[in-house]
Amino acid sequence: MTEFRLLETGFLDGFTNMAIDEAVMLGHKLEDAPTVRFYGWKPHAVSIGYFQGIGEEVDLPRAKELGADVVRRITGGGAVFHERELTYSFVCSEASKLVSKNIMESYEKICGAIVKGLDELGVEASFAPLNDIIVSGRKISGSAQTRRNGNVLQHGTLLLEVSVDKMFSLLKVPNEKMKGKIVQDVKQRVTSLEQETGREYSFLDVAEAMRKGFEKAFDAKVILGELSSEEKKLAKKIREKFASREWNFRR
Amino acid sequence: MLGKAVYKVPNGKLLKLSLELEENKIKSIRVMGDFFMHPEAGIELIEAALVGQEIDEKLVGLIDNTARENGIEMFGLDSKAVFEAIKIAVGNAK
Repeated sequence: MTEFRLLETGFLDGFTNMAIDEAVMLGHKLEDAPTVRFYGWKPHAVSIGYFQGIGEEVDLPRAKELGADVVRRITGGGAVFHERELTYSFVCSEASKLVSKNIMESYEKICGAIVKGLDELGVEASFAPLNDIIVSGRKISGSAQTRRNGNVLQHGTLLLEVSVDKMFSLLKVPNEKMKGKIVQDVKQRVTSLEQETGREYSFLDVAEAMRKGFEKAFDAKVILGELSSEEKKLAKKIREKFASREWNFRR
Repeated sequence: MLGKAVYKVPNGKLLKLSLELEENKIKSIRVMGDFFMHPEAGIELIEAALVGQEIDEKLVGLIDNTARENGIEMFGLDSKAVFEAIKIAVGNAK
């Protein structure tokens, strides 16, 4: 049975979180165990997609006021307010054939681990192309993927609890006059583990369920490991990019 | 002249585009939004290809060719959507 490495890096700032994901992807070799990582955000943060305009998406003075990091991801997709959630990332070599070369199919495969993890918690979820997971028709998880150096990185969120009002105190909407309606729509379209089950979950309980989800989806053993010293060194260097104005304000 | 557009791609993502026009040609352009593109750096190639061009239906083919030649794949976005957003931004330009 294939062995995957599990990284539990706890709650870190947004720049470090993004740097670790990139460092693991860039440093990965075909002979290395694929990596599953679970993490949270401290302080809470907004991440924006690679192609988004920072000024278009984020109320920057408000983010500063609330002490939220704002960081541009190396992956596409939309702006995310990271607060009460479990974030996952997965890295493997394209040559490992664990996921398809076809991007749509590979999203489904990796998101399948989260769907199976939710099943562990008694929540019936399904994959909704391109990059979402839904429960009772509402989004509970969103993911984004990139490929560099022959490796695949997919990271995504799983909402433990969601405050749409707080989210939109930081995120901008395309039409300010329509904000009330947009916020109402998002409330209808988004859900969280707690909303679905009426239960409170600890980060670690959810992480354990997701670990099992990856084991089932990939028929693998997911075993706790740690970052290598090379990965730590690389992540420290890459963090400088994510914390830089040049990177975050490039669009 | 500067123009902006917000355009919901049919069955796709939300495209936000801003451009600068000079003598009816694109002087600079930023194609933004919550779409996906592989490789990501492809966006700069597409933007560079659009600079200096007149606003014309031919831009659709130009974007498609740039994507094909550079192995760029788009998700939640396509060349027609970029052209639609360009037309809206031009209409809004002042």
